Amino acid sequence: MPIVVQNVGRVYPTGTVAIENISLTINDGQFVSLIGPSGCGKSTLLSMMAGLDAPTSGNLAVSGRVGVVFQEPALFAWRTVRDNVSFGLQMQGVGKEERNARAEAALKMVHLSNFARSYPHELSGGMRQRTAIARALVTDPDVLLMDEPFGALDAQTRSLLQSELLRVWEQTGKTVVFVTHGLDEALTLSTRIVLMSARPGRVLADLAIDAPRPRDTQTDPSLRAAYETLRELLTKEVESVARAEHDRDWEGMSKPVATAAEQFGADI
Amino acid sequence: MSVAVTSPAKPGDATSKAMDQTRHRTPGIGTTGSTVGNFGRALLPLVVPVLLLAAWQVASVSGALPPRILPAPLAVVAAAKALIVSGDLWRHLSVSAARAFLGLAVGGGIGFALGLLTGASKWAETFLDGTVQMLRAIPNLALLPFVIIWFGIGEEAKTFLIAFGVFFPLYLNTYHGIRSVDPDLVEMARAYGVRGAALFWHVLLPGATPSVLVGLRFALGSMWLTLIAAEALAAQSGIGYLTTTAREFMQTDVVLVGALLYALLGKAADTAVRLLERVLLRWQTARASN
Repeated sequence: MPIVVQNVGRVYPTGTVAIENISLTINDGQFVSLIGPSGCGKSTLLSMMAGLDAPTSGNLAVSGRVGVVFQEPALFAWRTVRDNVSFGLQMQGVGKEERNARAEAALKMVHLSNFARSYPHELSGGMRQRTAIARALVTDPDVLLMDEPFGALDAQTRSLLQSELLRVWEQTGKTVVFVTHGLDEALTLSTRIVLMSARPGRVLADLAIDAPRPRDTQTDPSLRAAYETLRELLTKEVESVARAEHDRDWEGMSKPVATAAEQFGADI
Repeated sequence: MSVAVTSPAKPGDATSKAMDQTRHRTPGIGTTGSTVGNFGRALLPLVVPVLLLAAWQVASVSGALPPRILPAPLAVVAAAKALIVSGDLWRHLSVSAARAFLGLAVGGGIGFALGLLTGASKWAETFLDGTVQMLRAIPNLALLPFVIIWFGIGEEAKTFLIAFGVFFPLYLNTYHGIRSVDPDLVEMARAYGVRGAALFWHVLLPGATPSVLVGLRFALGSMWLTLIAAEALAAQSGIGYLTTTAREFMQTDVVLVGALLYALLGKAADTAVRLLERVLLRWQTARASN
């Protein structure tokens, strides 16, 4: 079991409770999407799995090597694509020849072999994000942690990269934890969806998604059902946040909040 | 072409200037013209300087421009030739250049090191940056009287003045360079367990390099100005000595040779930095090679 989260909480020094008592066990080879309203602590949970943040209570254990992909590709402008990809290996002290060979293999997986010698500024946004994915794959991690990796891309590029990611996942059998805003994206990719509540983050729902692939979220009845369930929970959550904020701001004055929920609903 | 340099407000101007210069190097519309057209275009900017020189020579020869005011261009050439033959030119030139670079090495070295320190460490910033910012307000030449009291009029005084002048541009641009390294890069590197010295060598320093080079250019400007002022003060050798002595003997042609030598040194240093930029910032102008 590569990832075990036990009663994990995270309180910031400011007193804000980002996450409250989350327990989660993620098995080998699962593709788990974490979804939830903005600021629900899903990125914080991912950061803790990546070792970039530590829980203030509870235990969190990730076994095996970890690769991380962020929303921003975060590439070194002064390194070629290949040298960006091999960065992790270089830091591990892997020799130059092996490093280059492995970087080129990783680039092949994301169809960037022809750009190994290019610099990041010569690439499109989608290609940069593919470089970042190759960089995460090159160390052959057991767990791939992805924080809204396709959030900044246009719809077409996003769907292209989604299918590439699925292919890599099917080929390698890695465990993937994928933070996203998009219900559709989560339903297309995941074997399991964990829905988190608004801050402080708790687990609201934990659904196994076993629809056959390739998936069509519009027509598959089980995906439709999962979509409706998750959307309803999410809308309720967003509404309760809006209501709480409204009550705090208006102190007893009555004002409809349905429009706020609709606005948030569109976003999810 | 987008260049990932987030420069601070002041050196930002210089960055864009440097980028303009690199842009000029890339072939533009001019390359589509005929060879003859290109040749003419290359000569065109030379027309005005050549005409000016000719007019100047004519005015000098006709007596309209007395050599006491401005020597004839050919007289300047002759004076330069005499200085080259006697070996004086090379001697003074190398003394001045050595002076300038000693000052740059001392002041620039300290500025670079302190900039790295305050840029990388919050603690060092709190401790030092305020003091540096206060000292920065003092123009180095305003310290001249003190420098004479402290160091006399020897080489130490000149080195100090130059070092003081080049310290600030290098300090500021190194500090801002480190500070403006994309936090996402640092976060990413940390995810790979990269910390301390490795983080500095592989992330912070390369990220700050464009800004450091901007600082170096600013420093060179300050270096030559200070050198000229310091050498005019008092010197036993160097270009400043050459021109000061020549002025006393009304050798205006030699004075002008001195001015040209300063220009030559400035140009050479600028070219050196540009070469350095081309090597260190190759990635900024690189195009897909495959």
